[in-house]
Amino acid sequence: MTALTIARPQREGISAQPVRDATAIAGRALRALPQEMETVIPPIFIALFFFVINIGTLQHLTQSHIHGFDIKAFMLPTAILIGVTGVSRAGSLVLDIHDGYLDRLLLTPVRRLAILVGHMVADVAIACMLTVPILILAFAIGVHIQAGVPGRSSPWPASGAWPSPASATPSPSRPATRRR
Amino acid sequence: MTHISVRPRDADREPPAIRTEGLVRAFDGAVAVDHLDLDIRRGEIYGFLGPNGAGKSTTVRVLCTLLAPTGGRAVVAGHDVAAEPERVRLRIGVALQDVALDPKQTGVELLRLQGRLYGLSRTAIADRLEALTRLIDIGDALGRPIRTYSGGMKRRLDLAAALVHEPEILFLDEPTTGLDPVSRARVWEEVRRLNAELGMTIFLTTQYLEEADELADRVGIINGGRLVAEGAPDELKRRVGNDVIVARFGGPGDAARAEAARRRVEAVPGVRGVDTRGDELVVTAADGAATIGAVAVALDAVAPVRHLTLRTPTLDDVFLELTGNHIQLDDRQEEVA
Repeated sequence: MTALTIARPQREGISAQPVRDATAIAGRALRALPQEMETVIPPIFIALFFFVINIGTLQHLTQSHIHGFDIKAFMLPTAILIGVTGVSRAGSLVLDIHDGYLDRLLLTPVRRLAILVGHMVADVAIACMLTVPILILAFAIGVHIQAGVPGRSSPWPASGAWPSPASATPSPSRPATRRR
Repeated sequence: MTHISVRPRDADREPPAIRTEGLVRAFDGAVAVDHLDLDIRRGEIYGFLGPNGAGKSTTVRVLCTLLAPTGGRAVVAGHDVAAEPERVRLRIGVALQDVALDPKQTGVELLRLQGRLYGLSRTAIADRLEALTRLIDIGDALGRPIRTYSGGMKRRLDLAAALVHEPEILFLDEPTTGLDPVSRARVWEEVRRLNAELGMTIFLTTQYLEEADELADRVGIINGGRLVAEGAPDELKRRVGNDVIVARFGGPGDAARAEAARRRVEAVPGVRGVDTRGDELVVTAADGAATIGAVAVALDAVAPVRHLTLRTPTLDDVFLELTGNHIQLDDRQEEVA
């Protein structure tokens, strides 16, 4: 261990930077995503599975009885909801408490809200990413969104907003203390 | 004792780095910190010594704004911990008792994020990373996920994370627990250096008596949430006496012999105090070398003594004198990183 030799740096405007803080915390969560693929792959698999199964089983029944009904278009938002419902950083927050890292974050001059918002922003980004394969499959099997670009874009904000309340809700199973 | 601490010249005229007035912290009625009054000067290394459950870590968590005080007041770096916690956090660095790291990040990622959260620019973060890399000396491991680090490497990275923003006050909560002797010596060296070169105020809690003795300008001894003594280590040890003679009898039934011996030794000229601890007799004397012969003769008349030792007092003797108990060490101190 050698000496700390550099001069004391100038502190720059700290503390009142909630957007920058939340972005930094969200960035950390997204960087960790490749190591947490087990949280992403099952929801996307389940969503795609039921999208295909439901269309396969209900297409003939519904389209032969309801004139003009498109089961594929009907199932698209359902599949997106199934996929993104499981997205929540609550588990990561629990791990942060368990590993003691939440204490490290709480010791910084960052506002508590920025820490929570940072996790929620990461959830939104992950939910939007999960929507992509579902949309690709939907377009590949012939789903048409007649509302044009706004209609095609709408699944992203909708799916992104969906898991946010879950992120913000404290889990009853959250441990009260960190690992010793 | 080698002591390299350098205190800024104006330290006595400056407002204190840490001041608590009647600080109380209770958990569901159980009082962990009981009307604690501290006054720690800027540039000082303050050792906070006490056994498990004495209230050391709770005090640190209150001073670091992780816990709100139940009563009283604490001012750190000129700001009230309850009223201005963000201003306090900006000026302090903390290495808690258990490392506070994210195992999924690499060391570099963790330090960069710390820098960003303290509002440092990219250039400043790069400069700090370079300096801290030299400081913690873990080589290429800094680019690896933290989950692959050894206990000692994690402890050093945790210290680096506490120093990213170069705080005015550094809280070290049992920083060498679990470290091997070599790593412990390195941490001691760095604590001295941070204090000497940067004038950093260091609040150090420890169960290691020798750690407080080696590093601290002043030591506060806490027991049951209350400050039972405070002063320079030498000053505290002088309260016990100049020298300590320890006689160990050993063997069954020797606690009773020690008690019998106590009455005889108390009559020996030069003896200031005698205490029995199990089969041990602890004698404090103004001049141990001059008194040990007479003590040996007095003991020989009662029972054969297995070991007779003359030593200078330790902070454990001070603690024993003040509380009637030895400092109980945490099991984890025996772990080697």
